[in-house]
Amino acid sequence: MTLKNSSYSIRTENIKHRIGMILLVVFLFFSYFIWFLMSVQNICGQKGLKASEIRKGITGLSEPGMGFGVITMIAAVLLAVSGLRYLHSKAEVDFYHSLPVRRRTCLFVILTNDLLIFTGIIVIISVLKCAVAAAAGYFLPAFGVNTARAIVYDVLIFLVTYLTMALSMILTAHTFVGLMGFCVFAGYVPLILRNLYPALASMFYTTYYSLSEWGRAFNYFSPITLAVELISGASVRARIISLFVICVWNVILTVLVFNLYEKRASEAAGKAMAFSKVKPFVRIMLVIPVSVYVGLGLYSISIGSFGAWMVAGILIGGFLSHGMIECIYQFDIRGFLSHKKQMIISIAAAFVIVGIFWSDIFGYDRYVPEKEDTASVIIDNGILSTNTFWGKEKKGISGEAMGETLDILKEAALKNDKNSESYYGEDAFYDEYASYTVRYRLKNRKEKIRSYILDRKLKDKLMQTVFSTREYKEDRFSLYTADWSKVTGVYINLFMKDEELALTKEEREELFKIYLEEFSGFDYNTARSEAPFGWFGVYHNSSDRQYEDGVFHTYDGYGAGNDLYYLYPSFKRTIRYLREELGLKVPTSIEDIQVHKLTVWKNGDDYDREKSYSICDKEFIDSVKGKLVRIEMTENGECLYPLDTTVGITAEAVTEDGNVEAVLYTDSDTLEKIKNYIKMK
Amino acid sequence: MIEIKQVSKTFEGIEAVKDLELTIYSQNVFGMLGTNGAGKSTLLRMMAGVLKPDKGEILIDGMKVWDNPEAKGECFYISDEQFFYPNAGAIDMAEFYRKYYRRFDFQRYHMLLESFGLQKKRKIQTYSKGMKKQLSIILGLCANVKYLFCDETFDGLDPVMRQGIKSIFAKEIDERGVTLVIASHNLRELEDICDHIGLLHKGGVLLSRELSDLKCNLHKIQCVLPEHAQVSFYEHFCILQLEQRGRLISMTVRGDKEEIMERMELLKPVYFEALPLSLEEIFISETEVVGYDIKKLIL
Repeated sequence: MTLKNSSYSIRTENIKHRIGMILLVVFLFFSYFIWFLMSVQNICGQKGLKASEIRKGITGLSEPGMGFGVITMIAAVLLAVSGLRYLHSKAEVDFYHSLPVRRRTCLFVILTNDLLIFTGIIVIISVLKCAVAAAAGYFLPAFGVNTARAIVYDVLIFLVTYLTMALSMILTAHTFVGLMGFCVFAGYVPLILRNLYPALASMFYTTYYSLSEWGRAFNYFSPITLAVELISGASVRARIISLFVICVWNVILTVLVFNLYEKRASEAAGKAMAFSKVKPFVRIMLVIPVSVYVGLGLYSISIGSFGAWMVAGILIGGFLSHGMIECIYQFDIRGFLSHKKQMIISIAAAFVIVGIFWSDIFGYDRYVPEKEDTASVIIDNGILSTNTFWGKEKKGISGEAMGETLDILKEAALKNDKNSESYYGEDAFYDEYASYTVRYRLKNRKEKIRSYILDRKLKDKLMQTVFSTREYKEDRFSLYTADWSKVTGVYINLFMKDEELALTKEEREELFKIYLEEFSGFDYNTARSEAPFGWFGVYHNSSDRQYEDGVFHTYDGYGAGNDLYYLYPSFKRTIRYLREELGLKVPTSIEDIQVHKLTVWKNGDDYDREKSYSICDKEFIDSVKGKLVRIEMTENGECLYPLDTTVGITAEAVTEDGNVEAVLYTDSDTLEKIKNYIKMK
Repeated sequence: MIEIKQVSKTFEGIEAVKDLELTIYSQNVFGMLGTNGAGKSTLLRMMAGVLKPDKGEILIDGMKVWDNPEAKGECFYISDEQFFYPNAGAIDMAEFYRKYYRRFDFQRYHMLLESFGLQKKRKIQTYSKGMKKQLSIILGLCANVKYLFCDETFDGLDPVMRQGIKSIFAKEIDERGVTLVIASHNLRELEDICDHIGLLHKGGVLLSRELSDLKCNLHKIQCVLPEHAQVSFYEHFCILQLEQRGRLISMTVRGDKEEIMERMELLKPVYFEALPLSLEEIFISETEVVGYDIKKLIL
């Protein structure tokens, strides 16, 4: 028998003796194909759909999807387990390893067999999918391209998952432990490590700002999150990066799997781990973060975040996780207390990590860069506006204003703990405190982000410094630097109704120009004393984000936005332009609204309509209505007018559309006036 | 020829085999004896290429056995718990082995299955322990290899089957020149089949010698001397062991049988006879000489 024939025979024998698992995998993909058939039938059978929509729907089914990705990963795990399970049985190891065949050949046969089986199945499924699409009359070249792309993605996902599972099977010596090992490989970096820093920082640093994008690279260290990144990548670039990373991982894992397979001692079969030197490393790497998480968990759920629970949590987490891992290693509950020194070291390391954050050793919360090190400071209120901002890249405040801003922020950093406590306390109300997120752009091109809670006094100080700067306004209000050609619509809102403005491009640009000119001269003190009476909204496409289909989307589509620009009574030119130049019949001041009833009620959880008071005195209503501000303005943007949110006011008015209602707030002085009026009556 | 050169193997700090040096000559039946944990199975698994020695090397016909298909193709390892595929029958297993052992004799396999009364189509998992053992021996025999490594092969076989297997082994050696390495803790099992004996203890070779040499050179003498006779036996014989019960003296003596008899005649005993030594007795005597309390070790 030639070597080639012998290798072929080994290959067929390998398949023959794993036929059960292979059939299970075939069944999984067959189930997917049934789902595909039903989806095609559902799309074709849907009434009222145009041919182009059906074509689009069916072509969409050929895209690489998470459903198929999950089946691919399950298939990879099943095949890897069935292929290498023999390593965990003494009798089978004796049987296979005494055969006159090189170990490398043995692994190569198992690995390539599984890859061939998987590739064969998905190629057949893909051909069948194309045939179904063609038979339905909706096969487009895009369907073929998508299918080919899906095959490449799925083979890569299969390989990375299979090799990870194979690595886990080789490193361990018991199938149950092997499966747990796979879970550790899949979840350790993207779940445990990625969230460790944000969990600690958000717990102990009051100036910490959690970026949703933080640590995205951690996703590249698990076959599952890597597959998600590849399939659901937000952009072509992101998918190319994932594709590259997955290829690199496949190479690294192949090298690791083959080398460790050869080095793996046959006598390990039946134990927990095949490489005893790995045991302390795995244990310590798991015990430390588990201890920290348990400590954080108990600390955060205890009333008033009682510090003793943190200590108890670390001790309990460390003791239990160490003991449990040791029990698994030894397959014996009596192993719970083994390697006490390592347990103590792990727990001590957890304490050190928590201690670093708790005592803020590196001065995270105190950090404000020096003027000479800072290029600019970007100030956002509340959350970062990176997702909603559609203007040009933010420059930040620089020069003299930056120096003053840094001084104020130093003060803010010192007061932050106290202010945060009050801000998140039960007694805080709107306008008393404000949250700001600051991005320090340093001269060394690094960027530091901090979140501050400012009290009224500090907020005024900061805003008086920055609000009058052009840089602040350009960074806060997209319309200054945005490409106006991406605007898809403008509307105005004064009471309850959005009124679309049918403007030409020139009229729109003129409106923006006039508004921004007036807004540029609008200072903070005026903003504090003048109540905005409404806003105009700007629908726009995303600025530079090109999505899956390569086109910019309209306002109701993914990636589009809606900006609000408040209208103040002092914006005379804007109001005149709207009224006179555009000849619009829209109300351009609350003075134009015929409010005939105000209902005043205490705001809060115990809202009770029965305890509300109605005012129908037109003269009194007219005297206060200019100071009323729509509740939406406190939610949808930064309203600088000082509002007292403890009392809500419902205003009823008669408009062209009939009776309408709006919920409003007002300032403390006006509220006092209303209260006095109610008392008198 | 199998050469085991300074081989050591440690499991989690326990030395199963330590600096073991042994040569097993071809066309021999090598009995590997030792207590449980002596390192017999470990050595056998290393010889079969299952385990990798931590130190030293094992050569089969001059070829390193570890991860060497050519060397491994010349030997067949019959484990004490042979693995068979679930749901496989005797023929399925033969088909499997045929793909790895190029000289696998299928015709003989069928013949032996019939001789042993093993049903070809019956699933192996329904076989008894002894039947599985028989099947694994048949598979090993039909693989037509030069070296057959058997771990506790006779365990689970009835006495008739044991004798049957032994005669087949003898025939194999005569006809094909097979070399058998049989690991066992039971001396009596190997007494009538082994040419060479190697005794393993605590991972080392206590002794390795031809069985005939051992038997020819050691004798058990029982005698009764005349009353009041004062004889120092240690001056006349090379005594390994001496025991006296009343006037009956039993001793294990090393040396040529004729010479020992002549010397006994000169002592004019009332009665004396030379008895054959069993393998067990030989080992007890030999190992006591080197300081091992073998009575505690051997069954």
